[in-house]
Amino acid sequence: MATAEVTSPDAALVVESANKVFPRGKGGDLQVLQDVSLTVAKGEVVTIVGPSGCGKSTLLTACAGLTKLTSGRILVHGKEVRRPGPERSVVFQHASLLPWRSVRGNIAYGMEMQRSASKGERKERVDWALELVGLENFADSYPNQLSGGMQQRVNLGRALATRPEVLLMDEPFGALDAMTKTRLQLEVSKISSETKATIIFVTHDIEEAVLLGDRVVVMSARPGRISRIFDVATPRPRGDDFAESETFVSLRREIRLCIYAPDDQRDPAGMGLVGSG
Amino acid sequence: MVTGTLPPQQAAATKALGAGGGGIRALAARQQRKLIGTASVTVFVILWQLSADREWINPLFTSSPTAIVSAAREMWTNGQLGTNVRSSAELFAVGFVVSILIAIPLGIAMGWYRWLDAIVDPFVSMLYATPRIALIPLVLVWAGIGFESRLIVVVLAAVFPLLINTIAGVRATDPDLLRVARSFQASDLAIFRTLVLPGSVPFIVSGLRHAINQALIGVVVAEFFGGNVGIGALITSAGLELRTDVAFVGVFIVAGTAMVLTGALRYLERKLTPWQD
Repeated sequence: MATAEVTSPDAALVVESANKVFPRGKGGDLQVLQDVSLTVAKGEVVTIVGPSGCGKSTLLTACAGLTKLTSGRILVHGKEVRRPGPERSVVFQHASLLPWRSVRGNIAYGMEMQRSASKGERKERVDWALELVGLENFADSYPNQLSGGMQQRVNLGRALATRPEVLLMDEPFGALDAMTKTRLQLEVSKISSETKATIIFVTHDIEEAVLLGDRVVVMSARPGRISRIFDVATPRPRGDDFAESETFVSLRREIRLCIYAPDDQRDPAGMGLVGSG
Repeated sequence: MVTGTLPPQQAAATKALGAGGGGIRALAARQQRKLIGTASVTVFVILWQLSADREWINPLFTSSPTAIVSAAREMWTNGQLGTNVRSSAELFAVGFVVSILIAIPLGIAMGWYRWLDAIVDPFVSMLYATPRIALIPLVLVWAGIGFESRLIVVVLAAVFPLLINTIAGVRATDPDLLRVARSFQASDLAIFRTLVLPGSVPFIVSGLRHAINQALIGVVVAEFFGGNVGIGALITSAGLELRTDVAFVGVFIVAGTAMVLTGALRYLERKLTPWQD
């Protein structure tokens, strides 16, 4: 599959002064993203963490090409994002599986819609993705026969099967129980180092952000902007021991502070209203 | 806007309570229900017979189970039953098929194209709200007494529940699934084929069930007014001649047919939408 020309060989994704304003009529406009700029290197895993309403999901859907920015632009491999493209795949928070398709059929769905790969290759990739997400024994099950965690694996497998260069993950484990969540985090960590895909992972879970990211982008709410970026030097994949390490604990503390006690003054009403109608 | 009837998929929410729990106990409860039901019907039939034999109520009004059975036997041998059943069955079959051929394509088109819905919906809403029986005199003026006018009455009865459910089914496409499809650059046609159509099947099947009942009502009503053949006409003339036994034969045939067809459709529903249990 031919890809667009790469202008900067290291950057997989560049966000240039992204702004997103939702007009709300009389009450004043709601600025969801304010001047967000970010460069993500090829093969890098960047996690974005922040309180709800900080615009992290909006940033992700903008990267996916599902939301239009008010100003600024997003480049993927040097090409501006205007709509969804085959080099990007999204893993949404809800598994959103087709109930009338088996696991196999659901994993093939992304490829089918993209009309990428031949029939034979699709089958191969489905098998590959099934193995990657550990669902070989459930290939012919239907979504209603699966647990929430397994459904999320299918969701992940569907995105991985399209062999995206950039994988966009929008709080994929937000609705899962803690144990399932931990297992899936470890697997994503493993998968990310196996597939070498660039990953942008949005979450509201600080530990998840530290565990998975090469860098952790902390966003503040109303208007959503980047308040700080933390480097996590420990190489991936990171196992259980990392979650107990000094590095992990101190990063978690710092990020917590950054989110809950930011040194900048926020607007007292906390309404995030910008301008007035 | 007219809203359709919800398909039984909503009932799936309760399945966690029922299906997951005690399989054997549920089975026993079902058996018990059946047993009680059979007993209550048996007692009713015996009381009916007794009330006729002992003349608690004038048997001219109530007839009796044995009188009904012997009337049915007599009508079967003299061919009266066969002729009328055949005529009604033909009317039902043609009417039901015509209704399907109109309602499903039109419903899909109306669900998919907003402009078409805007044009047609006022008429559909108005006709749906009108008791269709009020139109029968007009239908007789337009088509005369005969098969055509009877067919029109049946189609008028059956077409709306199916049409409205089909529209609702097309509209009910899960927005989360739509977003997933869009993120994989699905074409409109692919979205229609892979999401809209399969998603509307439960709604359409539920519409078919209503259509069957409505078509049966339509058959009987049409035969009351439009001609002298069919079960409806048989019941009318039996009533005029105070032959309650003959009238009951007609009523039981209609009731039995309704139950058999509804049961068949339930079976079809399970076959068509296996993901719903």
